Order: sequence, then structure tokens, then C-alpha cells
Amino acid sequence: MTSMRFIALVTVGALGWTASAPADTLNFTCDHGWWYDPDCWDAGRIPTASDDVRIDYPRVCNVGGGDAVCRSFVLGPSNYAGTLTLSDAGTLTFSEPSYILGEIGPGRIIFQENDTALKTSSPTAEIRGPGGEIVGQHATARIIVDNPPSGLGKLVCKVPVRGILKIEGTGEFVNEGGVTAEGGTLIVGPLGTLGDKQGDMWLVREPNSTLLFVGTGAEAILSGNFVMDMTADSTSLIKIDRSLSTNGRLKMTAGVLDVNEDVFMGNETAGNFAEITGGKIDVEPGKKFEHR
Amino acid sequence: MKELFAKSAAVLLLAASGARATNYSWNGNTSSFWDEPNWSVGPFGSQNYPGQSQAGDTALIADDMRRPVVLDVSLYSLATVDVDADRNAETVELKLESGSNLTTSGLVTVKSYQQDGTPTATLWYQNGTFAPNALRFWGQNHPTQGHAKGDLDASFTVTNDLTIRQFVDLFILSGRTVTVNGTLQVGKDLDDFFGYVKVSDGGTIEAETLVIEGDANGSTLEVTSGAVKTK
Repeated sequence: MTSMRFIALVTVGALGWTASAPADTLNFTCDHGWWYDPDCWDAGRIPTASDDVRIDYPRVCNVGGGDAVCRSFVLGPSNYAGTLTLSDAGTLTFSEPSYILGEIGPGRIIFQENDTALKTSSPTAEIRGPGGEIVGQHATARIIVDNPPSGLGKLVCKVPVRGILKIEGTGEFVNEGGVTAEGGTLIVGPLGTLGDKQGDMWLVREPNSTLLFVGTGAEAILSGNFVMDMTADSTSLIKIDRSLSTNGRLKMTAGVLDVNEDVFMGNETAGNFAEITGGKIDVEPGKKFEHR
Repeated sequence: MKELFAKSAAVLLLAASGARATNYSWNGNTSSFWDEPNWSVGPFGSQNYPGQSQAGDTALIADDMRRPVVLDVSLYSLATVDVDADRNAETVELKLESGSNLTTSGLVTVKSYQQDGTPTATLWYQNGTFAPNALRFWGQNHPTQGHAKGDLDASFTVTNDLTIRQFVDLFILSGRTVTVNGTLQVGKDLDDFFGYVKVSDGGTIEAETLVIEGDANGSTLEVTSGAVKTK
């Protein structure tokens, strides 16, 4: 697909969902500016929960020191996408399918400080790519998926999430872009429901990185693969503190898989076999790990 | 008279078939070789060896009179083989060399000393044919004492399960594969046992299913060099 065709498709897609509701699209116009600054939006006002927002390259929009809302966001559309940074306990809440684009200059949401959050309690929230990513840099930065007052909240995340942060809430988080612990601890849970699809990855990269699954309740039924990257070493860790099963496979070259609840992996029919060429699997007392 | 005739016929039939499987114990009286008169057989003190005449014999190696016990001949299929350092607190080793053919219809157990101490049990598969129905390594409960070990220099297939109890070291030569058509079970093998198996030397275990279970202690699979895969 050419870049122009791709841009056209994304634009049509974006228009498709903006045109179906009475929402304004607000474009961020400052090169580096604050979400809360009306002068940084072409409409001369800050976005409301019914607005769609667009941040294009090379602009950097910071959400800090308060709560920001929008219906949806697009970092792009362009091969070079803008950046949304979260700092100083800033929280951005959205509700509808959004995009983080940028195949050449990747669009990013960056959690720059502790106590920052990207939040939704919508049943229809998605973050789509391609090209963009979500980067956590602090242990208490959070992606929060909560249930609305009635019904179920759900975030389908189709872009990679990596770094150090938490993914939690009472709703459902679906990993369709890859979740990677990198440079620290990435905590998945507690969540109402956890999902993914075949071929997606839960991954640990680099030394001193931990991917931690926590939560109680029903077994999480997954399809993705659990992978310890080639850059991992003996200090890299996947720690599973909630019962889960996946049709996907385990692949590890180093590090430790620490199993604190019953875990089932693999699918013979799909060819999802275990491949352990280094490292350890530790199964705690009374618990079971099985790879078919 | 009729009854006497029937009994005689039965004895003759048994002798002709040589069909009664025998439980052999290693005594190492003569040499280190399996096929020499090194076996005690109950009250008879026979000088034949397990697997020489018929299938279904069992072999127990629990004394280290001359070690290792060297097997370099082809045998009838045995029922079970026990390489047992626990029975007499003596280090024991079974070595399969070129020309050997050891096939079992039952369990091959390699068991180290279970009390405090260092006697080890080792299976050294150097060459020949080895086809156990099931294989169990049963080590000591302390990481620095009395391991059960497998020095596995040639590829072979376990028809059913390969089970690990307590601390076990498997040295599998690079390029060689232990194929397990059943489950590689680490810990909690029927009874409550933890398992800790360390795989090294570059070779591969490929099992239909991998199961690791903790009892009151945790269980561990550690790959320092080599691979553990499911198939």
C-alpha cells in the first residue's frame, strides 16, 4: 500500500466515525504546548468529551496537572505523527476508536511521570495503528479500562504498549498490538477481563524487566504467545500471579518464568509448541504449569 | 499317577520354554560387564544375566562392586531396570556402550541416595540402542548432594513418560535428542514430590507435553545449555 493510499484510507476511516456523530474535530496547532491552552487548538477552545482531536507532526501536546477529555484522538494522520505526553498526574479520558499513526515518524503516547493515566470506560474504545505506540516510563503510570455505570468497558489496543506501567481496571483490556515489559516492571491487572488474539505477544525485553500478571477470579483465556526476547538475561522475569491459559506458545532464551497460579499453554493443532533454550521455569508449591 | 504325570508335564513345559521371567540383582562378583556372572538370582545363584534368555526379566543395580556396570550386548526386552543408590547407600552407574540394546516394557529408574550423603545414581548412555518404556530420574532432596544423573551422549526415545523427582542433572550431548512420546513430568509424579531438573551440554528434550508441578515445595525446569521443547 502506498503512503498516499494509506493516508486516504485512514482519513476516510476517521471521517467515517466522526461524521456519524455530532462532534467537532479540533486540531492542535502549537509545536509544543498544553492541552489546556485554548490558544493551542484551532477552535480556540479546549476539547470536550464530545470532540475528536488531531495532533499532527511535529507537534507535542502535553496533558499534565489535571484531567483532559475527548471523544477520540488521532496522532496523525500522516507518516509523521504527533506526540501526546502525560505528566504531572495528567489523565486523558476518551471513549471512541482512536489512532496512533506514523510509519516513519511514529506517533506516541508517552507516560512521562508517575500517576498519569490514559483512561476509558466505553464499550467501544480502540486504539488503532499502524505505526504508533504507547510508551510507559513510570511504575504508577496507568492504562485504565473501567466499566461504565451499566454494561462493560473494553479497550482493544492494536498498537504496541511497552515500557514500565500498569494496565488495570474493572473492564476488559485486549492486547492486539503486543505488550512488552522493557526497562522495569509492566503490570497487567487486576482487570475485569484480559484478552488477546492468536499471534499477539506478551513479551519481556532487556535485563531487569518484569512482566507481571495479577488478578483474581476466573482464569484468563488467551491465544497469544509468551516470549522472553533475545535481549533478556537471568534478571528478566515473567511472573504469573493469576490463573491463565493460552493457545499460544512459550518461547524463552533466558530469564525466569515464575508460575504462582495454574498456567496452561500451547496448542498442538496450531503448532504452538514450547521452545525453552535457556532460563528457568519455577512453579510454586501446589501449582501446575502445563505446555501441550 | 495321573496327577504326577500332569505335574511332570508342566515342569517339562516350563523348562522347555524357559519362559519364567526372573528378578536379577547385580553383585559384580566377576567383572564390570552385564553379560558375565555378576548377578544374584534369588536362591539359585544363577550365573546367567537379565535379558539373556527371555523377555520380562528385571534388573536391580544397587551395589558398586565394580562400577560402572557396562552393557555392550543385545538383550531381550526387560520389564524394569533399577539403578538404585538408595538401597545400599552406594554410588551406582549403568553404562550403555556400543553393541548394547536395552529395551524395556516397564520403568527404568535411576535413583540416588535419599538420606543425607552423596551416593549418586547415573545412567550413562554412550552408544547402542536404548528404548525405555518409561524413564524416571529420582534425585536427592538437596541441590548439592546425591543427584540422579543422566549422561546422555546418544539420541533415544522414551515410549511414555520421562519423570523427574527431586534434584536431577541431565547432560545431553549437543546435537542429541531425547524424544518423549508422553509427558516430561517435573515433580508430583503420582506421589507428592517436587522436581528440579537442570538440562545442560547443548542437547534437546522434545516431549509431547511438559508438566511442572510443585508439592509442598516448588518445582523447576532449568535449561543452562540446550533446549526443552514440546512437539
